[in-house]
Amino acid sequence: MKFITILSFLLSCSGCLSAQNHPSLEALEQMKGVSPLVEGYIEYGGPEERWMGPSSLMIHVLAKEGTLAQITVSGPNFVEPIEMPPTPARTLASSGMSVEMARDHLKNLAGAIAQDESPFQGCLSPLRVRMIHANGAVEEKQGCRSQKGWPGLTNQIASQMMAVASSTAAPNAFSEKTPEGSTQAPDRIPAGIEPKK
Amino acid sequence: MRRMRDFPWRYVFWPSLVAGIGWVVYIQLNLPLVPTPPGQDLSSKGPSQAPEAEEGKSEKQITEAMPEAKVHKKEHAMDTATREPASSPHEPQVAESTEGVPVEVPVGAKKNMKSKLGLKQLGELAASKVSENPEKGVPTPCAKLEYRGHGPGMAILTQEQWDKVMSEFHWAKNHLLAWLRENKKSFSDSTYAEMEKQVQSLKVQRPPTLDEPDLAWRGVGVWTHDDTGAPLVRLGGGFPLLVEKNQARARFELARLLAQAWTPCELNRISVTHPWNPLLQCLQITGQNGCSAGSYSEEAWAVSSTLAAHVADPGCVVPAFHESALSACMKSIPLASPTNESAQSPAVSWKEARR
Repeated sequence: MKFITILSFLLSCSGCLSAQNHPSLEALEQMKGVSPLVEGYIEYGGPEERWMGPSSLMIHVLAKEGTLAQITVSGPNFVEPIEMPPTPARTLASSGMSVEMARDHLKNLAGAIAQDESPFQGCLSPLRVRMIHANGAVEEKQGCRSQKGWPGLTNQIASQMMAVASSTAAPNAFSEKTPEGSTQAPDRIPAGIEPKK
Repeated sequence: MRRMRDFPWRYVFWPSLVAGIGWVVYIQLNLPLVPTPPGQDLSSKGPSQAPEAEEGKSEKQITEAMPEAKVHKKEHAMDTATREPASSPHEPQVAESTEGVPVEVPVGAKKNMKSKLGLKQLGELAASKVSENPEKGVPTPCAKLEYRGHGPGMAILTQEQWDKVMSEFHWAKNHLLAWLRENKKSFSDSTYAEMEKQVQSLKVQRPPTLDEPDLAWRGVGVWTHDDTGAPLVRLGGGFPLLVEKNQARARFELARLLAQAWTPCELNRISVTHPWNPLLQCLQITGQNGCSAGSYSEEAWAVSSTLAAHVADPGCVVPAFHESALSACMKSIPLASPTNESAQSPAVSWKEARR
């Protein structure tokens, strides 16, 4: 009897954990009155091509469906080190980033942006974030990469996403190619998607 | 023994001898490893030289066959475009010793160079690299160059690597300050003092940094402020690789980062009237807006790029100065003048980042 109880408990737990039922997840979030953030762009701007400086870098994350988020990093034409050792960050990221985790990151970022009221004095390294809800609503924010507040969180999220993208074992990649299933991964945040007021 | 004596050795010996001579002649004609001086016959070489013509010949000997590789090695490291076309292998300099000078090949190709390329192909590769830009004295515009970092959480950076970075940082700082001292008369006393202070107090932060962990994946540096508001440069995890692989470019990048302490917006922030209007007018950069969120200053990038190129030659040309019209602005530095500086308002133009 004890065995049957434990077995049924384990089965129920595994059923809960393995059910990657995203439509119901979305439905749950929508029931709360918040449409989930399913796509995001993080752009680190650089100077115009005619001046010297860091290349613009764009991270695109797509967490609409499937088990793993599609992450693409585009922009700099990186020179790869001869040997890329399996760093802890890359080892951890080698299994990719789940859709839930990517959505959580975007949600946290949106929360940090909403709370941000820090003053700004201009900068050389602009940072731009655009997030898209499942219902099509768009949130956007601009700032500086070294600024306190939401840019700091953005840098941390960007680091994790770059770890995933740099991991060769992961299905995501450091690439300028558009990943399969994603809408687009341009060098710059695409125009035409205007934030909803 | 009787059977051995009866073997028709003459049918084996002569064909073997002819084939051997043919093989040696073939090798010397098709794989001219050591350029033959005029008048010297191939057959005058000693018998021991022939086996050296095999693909396993040492790197030193390969280099001897390509003297230009040594003669222009330093120039190649600085700028491949400024190299003169390959000279004839029959010139007297061919005989000069080139001991210890490795052949420069692309980084990725270096490991398997011998196994994948024959000596003939290596010779062609070296020749093509020497003559790839026959236009004498026409440097190429700088391309973006960034080594990817290994990411945070891994102490890839050794103390030796960091010491090299710091050495180059101080080199760039000293040269920028020397330039400032040389052109002291171009600035007012107060501006000069603040500019000197800005660069002298600038610090560099070793990667990875907690505030900007994404930089650990990149090979660039970022100019910013620390918690106290003092200027600070944060370097990406791949930057030490740039120092190792391309010292001239690394010095330029560090000088550019240091020069960002003198950009119009930064001088404006510390209530100093920026002195760069003559330079900016020459560069035809006209400002429209003040410093604002999510924007960048083209003026800032222009000033820092120009100053850095002036004190630390990157071995190529800043793309803007590849145009002849703007290159004059670079040559006529310093363009700051105390009279203009006092007459003009500290208007700073920050253009919208989106292009």
